[in-house]
Amino acid sequence: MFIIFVLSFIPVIIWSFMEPLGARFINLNATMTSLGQIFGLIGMVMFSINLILAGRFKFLDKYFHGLDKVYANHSRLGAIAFSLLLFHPLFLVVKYITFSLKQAALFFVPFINTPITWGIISLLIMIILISFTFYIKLKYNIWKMSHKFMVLAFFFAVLHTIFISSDVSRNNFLRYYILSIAFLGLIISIRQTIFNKFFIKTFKYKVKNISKLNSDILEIEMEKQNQKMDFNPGQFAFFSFIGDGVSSESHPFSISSSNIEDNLKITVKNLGDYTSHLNNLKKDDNVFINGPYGDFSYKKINNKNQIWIAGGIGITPFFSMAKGLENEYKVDLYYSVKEEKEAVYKKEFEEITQKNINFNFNLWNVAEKGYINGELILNSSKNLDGEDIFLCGPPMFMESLKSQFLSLGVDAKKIHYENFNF
Amino acid sequence: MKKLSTISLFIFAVVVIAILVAGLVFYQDKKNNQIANYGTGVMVQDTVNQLATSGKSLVLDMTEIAKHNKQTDCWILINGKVYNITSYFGSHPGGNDTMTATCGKNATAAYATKNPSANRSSGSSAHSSSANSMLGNYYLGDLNQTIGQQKIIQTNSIVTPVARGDDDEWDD
Repeated sequence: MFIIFVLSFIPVIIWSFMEPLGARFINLNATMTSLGQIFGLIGMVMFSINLILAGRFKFLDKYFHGLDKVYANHSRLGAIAFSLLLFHPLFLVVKYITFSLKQAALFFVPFINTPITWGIISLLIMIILISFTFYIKLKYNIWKMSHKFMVLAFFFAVLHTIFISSDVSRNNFLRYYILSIAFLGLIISIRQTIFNKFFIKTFKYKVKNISKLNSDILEIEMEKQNQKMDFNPGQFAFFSFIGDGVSSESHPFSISSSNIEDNLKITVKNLGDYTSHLNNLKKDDNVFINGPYGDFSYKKINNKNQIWIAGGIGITPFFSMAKGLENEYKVDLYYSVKEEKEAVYKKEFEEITQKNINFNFNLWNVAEKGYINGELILNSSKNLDGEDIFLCGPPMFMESLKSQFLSLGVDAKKIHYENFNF
Repeated sequence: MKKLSTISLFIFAVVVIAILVAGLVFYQDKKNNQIANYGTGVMVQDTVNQLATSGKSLVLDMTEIAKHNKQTDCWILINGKVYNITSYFGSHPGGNDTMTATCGKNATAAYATKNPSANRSSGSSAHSSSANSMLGNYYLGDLNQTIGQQKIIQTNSIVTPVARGDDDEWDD
């Protein structure tokens, strides 16, 4: 995130040396114009960087410690860039207001001045798409489709930047800096949205078996067609199923099989819409897998004393991790479920406990015992010394436990979690 | 972050709608004011009046214009008329540099071509009619005319207005 802010402020530094700052802020009009320019410059760079963040790159996965965190930052940076770009015309219009309200009003009317029209179109597309993200709840796959039109908004923003007469058009360094970042973002996002089938490495698998673990939860087993995808237990991948009655949009799922198993498994809870259609999958349907991604692994830290806490379907990465868990790790797993029948893989975990004395399995039935809390967990896992904590479950569940642990004095660095909601 | 977007969107909507409505409602009003402002005849009359009442005066010759050759004090000559454009800095769509280059000089050619020096490539088109009418605000007097100090102070304190350009006048 720090690098992003540095990259975003470089154009402002260049801009500030182009003319004496005194002249830039000599009166109200000049100050407002300058602020408008600054907001436009920063917003544009942030928008470009945000498209790069959406590019699903392995190096970003590493740098941000998990693709889920990359997306969290994408969402944050997007909101900041959006706000800056909204204020960009508001500051610039001030100098027209002091002259004539009519001129100011015409500033917001499209199809009078071509570069300005591009800017207006770009902002309008952004406003509509951001509304879909924050205010109008769409089904995930429809939202995802709609969000791809951000590239169109960006395209118009780039046209606006190129053709408007401004400091960008007057200073070559500023021009090349802004435009090269913008084109990089444009190329990456076009690759990501339109040509992803050709550029992004996918593994081809076939559905081998589908089993219903309970009324809501499906386990899908897949067999490799040519190359096997290597992964660390706890990671996730994007799956695109090709079958009747199932949308081919790619969706992220944690892998629930262990890397020592031959076949790949995911365990999916029916959360409505897309996941409910996975019922329609049949044996031998094709699956295209892009991954693995994520940094949620017991192996990434040196500490061998660990507490794992799962809420509901958040058990999947832990199931993958527990099956291949080496004996030198001491792990207490807490598995919180609303009711007994929600507890899939209970039998399998009990078998692992019998084989591995260092692995403790605690099923926490909320219907019987009430909500699980941080104090209870720390008290019952006193035998573990200076343990690291792994959390996976619904966002509310993780946030609540995380803040409880922080207030109990657990170091934030020792709490690891998987953001499942992207 | 949803909060930030919401607040920005709200402010944006309010300001844009307010300006659009106000711009259309008060259009007629403003138009009349502008005519009053731009009547150069009125200005000249003013100058004459000031000359009569003011004790100090000076002659607008090239030597006098050349003294005002910097951004913080900038006079230029266009088509035989002298303008004090000091207060317009920061508002020129073509940037300050293009104007600074002509301070204290005859800017007739620069104004006609938007090309203050040979190495600039940004165009050789004329200024728009609204730019022309705006220039009237900064009018000091004709070349070699004698004017009162009051006029100079008056042009120095003009609130920098910006005219809408025909096509390429926009600053972003």
